Amino acid sequence: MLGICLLGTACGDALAASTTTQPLLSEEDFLGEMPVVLSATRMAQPLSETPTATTIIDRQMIVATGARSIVDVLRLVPGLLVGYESGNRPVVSVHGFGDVFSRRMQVLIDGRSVYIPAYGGVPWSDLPLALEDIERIEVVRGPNAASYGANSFLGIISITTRKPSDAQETDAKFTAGTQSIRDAVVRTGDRIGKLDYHLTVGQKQDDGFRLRYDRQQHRFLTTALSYPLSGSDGIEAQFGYSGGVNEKGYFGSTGDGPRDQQVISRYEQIRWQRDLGQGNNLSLQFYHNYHQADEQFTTAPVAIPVPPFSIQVPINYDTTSERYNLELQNAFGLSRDLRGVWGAGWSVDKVVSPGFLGTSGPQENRAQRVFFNMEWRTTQELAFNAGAMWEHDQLVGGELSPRIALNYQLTPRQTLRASVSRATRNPVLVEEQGNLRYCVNASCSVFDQIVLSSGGLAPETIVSREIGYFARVMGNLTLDLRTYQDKLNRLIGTYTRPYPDLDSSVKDFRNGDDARVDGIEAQVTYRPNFKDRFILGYAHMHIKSSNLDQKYSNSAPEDSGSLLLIHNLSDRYQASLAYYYVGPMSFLDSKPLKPVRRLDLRLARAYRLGQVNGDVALVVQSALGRYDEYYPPTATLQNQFARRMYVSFSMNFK
Amino acid sequence: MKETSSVQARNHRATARKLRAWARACFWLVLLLSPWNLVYAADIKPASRYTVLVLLSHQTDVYQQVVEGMRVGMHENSRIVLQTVPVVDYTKRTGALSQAQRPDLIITVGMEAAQTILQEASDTPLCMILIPRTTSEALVREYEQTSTVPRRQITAVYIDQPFQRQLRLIRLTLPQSRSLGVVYGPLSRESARQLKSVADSEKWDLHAVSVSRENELFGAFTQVLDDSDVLLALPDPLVYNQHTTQNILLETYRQRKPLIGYSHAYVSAGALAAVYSTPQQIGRQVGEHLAGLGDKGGVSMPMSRYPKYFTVEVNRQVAQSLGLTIAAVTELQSKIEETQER
Repeated sequence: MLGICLLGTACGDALAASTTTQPLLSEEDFLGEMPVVLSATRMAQPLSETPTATTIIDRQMIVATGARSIVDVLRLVPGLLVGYESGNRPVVSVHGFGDVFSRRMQVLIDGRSVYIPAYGGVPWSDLPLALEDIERIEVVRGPNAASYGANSFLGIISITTRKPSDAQETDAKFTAGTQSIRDAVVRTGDRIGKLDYHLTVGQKQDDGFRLRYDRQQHRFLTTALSYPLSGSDGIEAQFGYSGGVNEKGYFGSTGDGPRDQQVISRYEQIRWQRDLGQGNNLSLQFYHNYHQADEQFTTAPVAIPVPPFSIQVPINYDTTSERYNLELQNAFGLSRDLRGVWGAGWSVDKVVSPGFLGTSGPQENRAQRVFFNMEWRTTQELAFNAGAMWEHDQLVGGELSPRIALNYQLTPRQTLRASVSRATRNPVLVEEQGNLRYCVNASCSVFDQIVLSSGGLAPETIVSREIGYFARVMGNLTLDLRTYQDKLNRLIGTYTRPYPDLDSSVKDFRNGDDARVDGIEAQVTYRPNFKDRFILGYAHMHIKSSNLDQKYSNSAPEDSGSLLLIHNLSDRYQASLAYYYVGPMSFLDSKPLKPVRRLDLRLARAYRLGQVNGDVALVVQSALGRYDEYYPPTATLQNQFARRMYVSFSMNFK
Repeated sequence: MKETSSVQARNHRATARKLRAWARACFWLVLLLSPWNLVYAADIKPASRYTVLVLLSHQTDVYQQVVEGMRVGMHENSRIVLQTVPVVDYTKRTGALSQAQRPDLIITVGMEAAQTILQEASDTPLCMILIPRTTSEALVREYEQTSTVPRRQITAVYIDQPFQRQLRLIRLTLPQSRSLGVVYGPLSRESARQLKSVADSEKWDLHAVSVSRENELFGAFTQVLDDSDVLLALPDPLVYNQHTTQNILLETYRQRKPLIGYSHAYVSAGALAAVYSTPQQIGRQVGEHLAGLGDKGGVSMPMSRYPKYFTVEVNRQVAQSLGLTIAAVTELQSKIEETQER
């Protein structure tokens, strides 16, 4: 094609200037190349039409935060709390109730749940996923099991990666900085015949917090393939593998000394989709997640009240956790005003964890579910949204999670939303069948039982009500306000009961406390022009709980907020600033934390060298200096997030 | 048609528009009355062998593709001798061109070649191809004002698509749409005006917003997207260029409003669909016309017109994301051809 006209107007002017006084349109204005916009393939439902409050983080925002990990990007979402129990163990919670196992939310990557069925939580550090491959993150700030499946309790984080057909190019990015940060990612994509593929390899490494034994090093490979079978149907497949080391433990600790945890995380996913026309489509998806953590070590000499009075206890925390999931889904449109989706799913969770479950054999949990979701637009102004999921699980039986929402358009630019939903969280295997004991002698006749579940747990339930207001002012200012109330019942917690072992006590799980969250959330985005973007988030929460030691009440700050400013200084330079505030709080398993004020800065300069273009970026995290992070209960020292600086260099070969 | 400017500016434009309309009427009257309007017969030659000088604005693939298209259209007609010369070479040896080498017809490919030829005093007939309609009209207008007799006969094959064709494509891909949005700059002002008259006659509700500086773009697009079901891109380097495209497309996705582009590049970039003519298709049309000349014994070109052959392209991924079911492009193409005027 034509040579690229770098400055459109100047180009046209220069040509025209030779003969005419006024500039004229040239054929080059018709034939010029245009950069391909990646997110063309993934359009979000407009925020004004979502049935639950949703925050969307797009590619530009991810880049602008300068973050190296997904969790740091999530700080932009009102009501989401992010902490680091250790440098390689991030914790994310929605509206509080968070600990290292954060069991009360759903995390999906391209529709694949990455929640660990053994003990709950998400292995954020071990996920085979490059931040660079993320196209968009949608965070639903409330329960929505009908749309996102089981465990969509306090919220849902849904990550969408780039499609293989989006990137027929090769790029590389290298990052290095303080705390021994050494990241690298190389991505390539192309088309062979009708097959589009995309391959990413990378590594992530850092030393974590000062004075903590929490280095991490992970290498990963992910690939996505898509192949059209005909004009109306196609197959997509994804595979990923990540392997690495997480350091754990504390210097000087007897039972929890420094050690390495070897981790393998992988997945296989395949999806077939057929477009039946008129908004109808059918898809069948299968995935398999596999997460393996190898962690065997021996404690320092421990004093015991029986001969030989001191012993080094061998500990086996090896855990393998797998999920097989099959899902059929049919989206249909009955008319222009009535459309819906229904589906059914089957899953098998398999866990081998001799240390935590007290048995070397695999423990299984099978579940089946059916779901539907309908959207009925009665008039131009009024839309109803109703859905439900019924799930049957081997451990707890059947549960129904319904949801109803109403969107009323006050004016074409203002929408009111009201919704009520109920969801459940099923106990994970460790809660239902936990059995952790340390044997003191070879026959294990003398032992210390740490955890022993009585079982028979019922699912936790949540009933969430919200009223929201969404407005778009002059097209470039959006306002999303929401007030909500979450009622949580039968929260599963630990308690100590007497037990005939060395210390005469054991920890057990039971359905105990209730809690109520009342909150207000606001999100404002402002784009005065193409060069600037402001994204402001604020959350006010108050938790009331029957729990006497205020564990739940303190698990969320009264106030928290974030501000992201993006400014394109010129075609070459982009600057961004992110500020986060979190009021005093404590995670369920941390000591009280002081307020957090954190400022992250990023400056990037784009370059072009012949066929290669890219950018060089400098990121300063916590530019205001160190702030106090998580305070693990067993630790004597608090994690302190010191100022981090790193430079990344990226290049793109078209 | 919605304007964002003040009343005073509107009055000025109205006056200017009236003047332009008068000038245009006079221009067409002169053209109609002149004997060489419908068929121009150049000096009758005893031997029916014609030399056609094809002047290329640049030496890139696009211009070569036009020439290839012409050769395909001519079916190896031995009566026509094509001399293909890039502008840079032509200007160097202009003086050396003797009367004997004088071509019977000059075809300029692109704007720069057309401007070069129009500066010469000669009466050799000229056909400008691969040129935007508004540019072609402006060049002709200027030529009429400045040149002295003898004047050339000037015709053109535009690079643009007729608006009827584009609106037909929108109707076929988005049958529900009623309101059409357009953002135009100084160079597409005239196109927007022409679009308005077509859109009015086809009962479209047109929302057009003008911009004169790049920092007005964002406001213009959000305003137009708010009011319209679909956005039609009019080529204008201020509005649609390498730097703005991405933001514009992202904004259209955010508001779930499709954008109809004007080129293959635009559909690849993320526009829903486009109708356009490739350089080969334009060349082929010209070649076929030249091949038909030989028998009549004179070099003549038809009146200025839009391309006869065209391509319809749809970005299926975008269509799918918007929840649209769109017919196959061959079907769209034949439906557009059915209703084609002229």
